[in-house]
Amino acid sequence: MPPPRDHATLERFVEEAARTLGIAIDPTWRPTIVEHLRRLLEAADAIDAAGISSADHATRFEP
Amino acid sequence: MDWQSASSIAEDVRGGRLRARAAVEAALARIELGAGRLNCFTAVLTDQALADAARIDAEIAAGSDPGPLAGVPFAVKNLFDVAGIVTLAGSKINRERAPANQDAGVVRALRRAGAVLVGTLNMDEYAYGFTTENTHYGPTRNPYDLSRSAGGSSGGSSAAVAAGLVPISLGTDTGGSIRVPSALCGLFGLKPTFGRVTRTGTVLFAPSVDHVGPLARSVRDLVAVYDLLQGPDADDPACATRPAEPAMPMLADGIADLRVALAGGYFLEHAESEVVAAARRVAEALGAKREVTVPHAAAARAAAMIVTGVEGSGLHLANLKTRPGDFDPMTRDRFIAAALLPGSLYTRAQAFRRAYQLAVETLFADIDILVTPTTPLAAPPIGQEQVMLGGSTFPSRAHVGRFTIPFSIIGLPVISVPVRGATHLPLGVQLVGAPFREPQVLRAAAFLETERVVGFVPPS
Repeated sequence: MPPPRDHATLERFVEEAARTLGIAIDPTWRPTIVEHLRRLLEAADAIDAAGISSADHATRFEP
Repeated sequence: MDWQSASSIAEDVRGGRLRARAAVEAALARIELGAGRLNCFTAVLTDQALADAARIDAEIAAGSDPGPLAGVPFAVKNLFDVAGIVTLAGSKINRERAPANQDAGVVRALRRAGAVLVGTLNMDEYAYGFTTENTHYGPTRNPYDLSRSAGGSSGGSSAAVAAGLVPISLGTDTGGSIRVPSALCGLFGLKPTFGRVTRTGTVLFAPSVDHVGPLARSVRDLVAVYDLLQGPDADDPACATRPAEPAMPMLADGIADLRVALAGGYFLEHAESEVVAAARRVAEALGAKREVTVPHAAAARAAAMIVTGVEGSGLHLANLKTRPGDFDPMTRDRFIAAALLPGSLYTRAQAFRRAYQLAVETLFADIDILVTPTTPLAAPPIGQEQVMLGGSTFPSRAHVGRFTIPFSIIGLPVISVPVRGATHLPLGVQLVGAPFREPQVLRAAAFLETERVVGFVPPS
């Protein structure tokens, strides 16, 4: 079952996560932040769907 | 406006036919006349530039050689440290910083070569954008159509060179921020291999993805600058230790030995037809016989979105907590969203990134140059939120980076070349190479320029 990504759910997440992190969000910013978060979560889904991953990744990148 | 190349200015200055002061005064006069309507400069360093020019003229008079770029005026994106001025990085928050106490490594390199810094250039806040629509400093306008974007985030860098104010500039590129503005303003722009050029004294956006590179109106000028910038720097932990490999000596070697392919699929979709035709034209001119598929390109773009957003938000987290309202709304909300993302999604993106890198490496076992459009569309109108292409609607600003992002996320060297024959606005095509193979992509670009398939055409 896919996780809920409706606006209300994401808005609650943004509100609570931001509060926990110490970021005060003006209510007028919330819709845009929610939309950006949605796109990031969809990006994470796209990565999973690609089905490739490396065990030897490092956060310091080198070509 | 003045279209004299950097190489030609340096030759004239070193040969005693042109005083550095005259070259710099002319640039400053052009900036005074032309920079306002483009909104490309955020600082003009008149006194310092004239003092530097005087020093160069004195060196010439004394029989010394000030360097291969003697007297050449240049400007840099305002995220590079310049001694004595505040490094804005396109932000309001950075106005409160103390002035830099020394030049960034790349600024130092060009000044050591005799080039004269005349100013710093507008950009998207903290480099998080593709259109240089900066809420604090205003949008930078495209010299070909003032109602349109100059691209970003190095929009000031592209507008200043395309408008003939300076012959060369420096920018940075994380997802396309040298290549996109170069394409939209009809210039040559180089994003070298990750780690090829030092980032000391540069305000970073996403530390594992940021690149530094030049913009110019000719391949020769681009390479002249690139050869001065590249090489190891012990002060930059991300800088590769391999020695500099000058590209200029090989520039005229032609393309007979190069295996070239056109990137198909993802790289020909959701783009204006003229853009696709331009990429095909360039591929054909380079003798490409094949069309290849870059595996997982769409997922690579997705991974880049997560990696750059999370890394950028991490750099700015303290200010996001204490003064979020001082950010540009165009960047603030994206930084906040990325700051809320679970860390596990970042590490998964990095794991994908490595696997993608290895997959593309396999592709480059059989080819030397990959050809793709630089952007899916020509310069969008300033303020445009959405664009329709082929019956689908896309967020305009994000869509501009569709074709550039999949290569910068794995640090490949890429040059954007301006195609000739574009009907209305400039269009660019990417030549992508294997890691550290800048000489190959640069001589392919030089060949195309000689054959007049690509080249700078001044705005009317």
